[in-house]
Amino acid sequence: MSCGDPYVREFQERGYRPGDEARFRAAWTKLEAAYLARLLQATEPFSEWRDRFHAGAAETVRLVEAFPGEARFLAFGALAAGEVGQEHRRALADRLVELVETVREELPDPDAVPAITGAWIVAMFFDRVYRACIRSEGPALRVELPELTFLAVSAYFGTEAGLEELLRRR
Amino acid sequence: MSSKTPAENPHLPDELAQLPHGRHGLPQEFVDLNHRERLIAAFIALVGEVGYSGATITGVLEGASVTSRTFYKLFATIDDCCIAAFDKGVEDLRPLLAEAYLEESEWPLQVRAALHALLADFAGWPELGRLLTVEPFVAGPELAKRHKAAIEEMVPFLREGRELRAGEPLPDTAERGILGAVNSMIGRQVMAGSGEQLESLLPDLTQFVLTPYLGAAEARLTASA
Repeated sequence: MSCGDPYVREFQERGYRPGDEARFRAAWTKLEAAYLARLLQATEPFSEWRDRFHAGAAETVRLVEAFPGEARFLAFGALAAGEVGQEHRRALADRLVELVETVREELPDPDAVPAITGAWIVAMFFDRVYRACIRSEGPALRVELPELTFLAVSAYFGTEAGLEELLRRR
Repeated sequence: MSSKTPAENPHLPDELAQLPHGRHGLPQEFVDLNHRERLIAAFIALVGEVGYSGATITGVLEGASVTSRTFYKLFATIDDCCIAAFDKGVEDLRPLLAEAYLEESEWPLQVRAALHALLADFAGWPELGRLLTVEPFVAGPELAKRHKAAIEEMVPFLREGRELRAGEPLPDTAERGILGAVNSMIGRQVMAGSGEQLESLLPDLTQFVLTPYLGAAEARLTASA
């Protein structure tokens, strides 16, 4: 997922500096586009939401592990870069929420599930990615993938469906 | 850099307002505590504006109206001040959440009450919400460790809900996932500048947290009670 932009490495080494805005935006845009393209590629073969969700989550985990510098840029860059970072982070989160929320087409009663469920799931995922980026000990993010899928499926389809999914993925 | 002087800071008790200049005859211990609390409050206010990455000792001094000599007497670095602010925030939250939890007798309502207390506290002081939910991921390993420990403290309270569940047990890490999501949802709202409306998240957060234990229908009932 490397976007080949030298700014990502510079950012890792010296952090965000005033005057970086244009380079930050350019690097973020390239990296986000590369990530979303990978995500769509990974989920495209599947017609059911649960499979798409799992494939997208697994691809994200793979990318975080394979490209830790880029993952840190997307995860923490937003926090270090002030308003410009926040704006980009919100846009990425909104795009991910949109993708997660496609599940509603499969729900018998979509209105019974809170409108912010997609945001909840993305928030949960961000939390695990953040932790994976900063920790030097503890289980790898991939170990947590089945549980994350369980929580996501449970939020839309109920606990028993979540547990079924968990057993299927283990 | 901070927008509030000590006198304007609503999170400073009266006894911690700026001390009179010159000889005041107050015990040194009291003076040190006053300075420490003011520096912590100024740090939290500053983080609310510029985040941990943008917080400087100069900004904290300005917000607390103390000298750099006083700062260095109490903290070795800005990181020390940050850790002290985080610890103080967690210490203050602990009894608040425990009291709310214990006020109810049934577990689902206990969870709802604790969530409400948490959201209400952060809504009243969104800068603290930011320090406790967002900054631990960027402020270095020590704060991350403390944040993880604070989340771990809440796990047993949530695990009590497993006793209400029949059928297959939940995955071991379910509680950490749920609490992490609560943390992120709060952080997201605070960073969007809507921290003062955090209490509006209560029904949905309650439903999300309770659903794995009670099922969607019962969780929804409790959430809307």
